[in-house]
Amino acid sequence: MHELTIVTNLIKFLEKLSRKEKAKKVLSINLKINPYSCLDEENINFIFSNLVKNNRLLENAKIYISRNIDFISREVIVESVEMETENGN
Amino acid sequence: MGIKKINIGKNLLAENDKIAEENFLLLKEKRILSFNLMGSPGAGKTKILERTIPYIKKKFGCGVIEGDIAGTFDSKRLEKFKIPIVQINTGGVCHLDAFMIKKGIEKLPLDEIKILFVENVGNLVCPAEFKIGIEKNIVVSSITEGEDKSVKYPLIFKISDVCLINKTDLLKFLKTDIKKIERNILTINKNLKIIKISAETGENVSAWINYIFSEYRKYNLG
Repeated sequence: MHELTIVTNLIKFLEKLSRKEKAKKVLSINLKINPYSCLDEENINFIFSNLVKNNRLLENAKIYISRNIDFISREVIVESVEMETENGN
Repeated sequence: MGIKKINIGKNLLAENDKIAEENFLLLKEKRILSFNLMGSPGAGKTKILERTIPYIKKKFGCGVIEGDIAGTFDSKRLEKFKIPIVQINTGGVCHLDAFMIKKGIEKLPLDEIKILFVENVGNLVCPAEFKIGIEKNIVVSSITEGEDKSVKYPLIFKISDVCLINKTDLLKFLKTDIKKIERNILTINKNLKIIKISAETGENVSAWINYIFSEYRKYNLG
C-alpha cells in the first residue's frame, strides 16, 4: 500500500518537471532505494501505469529501480528522468 | 524532437521526512522520549503496552498514539490507565506517516508527558519505510510467527533499536527454536538489542522497563 504514496508523489513531481523542461513525453525514471526496501519494480510500474492511463505525458514511462548496498537511507531518490522534448535542449 | 536525460537527486519522501524532523525536534524540545512499536498484527503490541504503562505511570506522565486502519479496540483496552490516548485511524493506509503523527502529537497535553508510545499499524512492511520522527524504533516479534521473520522482512529489523521477542510463555508448547530466531535477527542487524518477554505472564518485562528508564536518563542528559 505504501507504493501508492510513492507513486502519487512521483507523478506530481514528473508533471512539475515536465512543465519546467517543456517535455512532450517522459520515457523513463530511475529510482534509487535501500536494498532492504520492500518496494518492487514490477509493482511500482503496475500502480504507476494504472494511475497515468490516458495521460499522454506519462503513460509510456517506465520506472527502473536500483538498490545500492551502500545506500542505507530510507529516502526514495529520483536519480534521473529521461524525456522527449521539442528540440532536445 | 529530441531526447534528454536529466539528473535529479530528489527524495520522493522529502515532504514526509521534513515533518518527521519537525516531530522529532518538538519532542526533543519538550523532553519527551518516544517509542514507536511496530510488528505483525497479533504480535502483542497492545498487550505489551498494557504491561508497560502501569510501571511508567508510577514515575512519569505518559501518553499513547494508537494507529489502526479502523476501529478503536486498542485505545479502549488502554482507557483503564487514565492516560492521554490519541487514536488515529488511517482509513485503509497500512502505516503511520509523519503527518499523522504530527496531528496525533498536537492533540496530546505535551507538558504532562515524559514518555510517549506510538503503536503503529500491525504490519512488518510499510511502517518501516516511513520516518515519523519518533526517537526509538521497537519491533515486536512473537515466537508464534516462526523463526524467519527477520530474514523475510529485513528492513524493519534493520531500522529498529530493540527487538522484543514476545510470547516466550508459549515456548513449551511449540517447536520454535528461540536461539535460531535470535541468530537470524543478529545476522540482519548485529546491533539490535534483543529482549525476550512474555507480556501475557509478565516474565522478563522488567528488563524492557529498565531499558525504558535507562534510555530516559540518557535522553535527558543529552
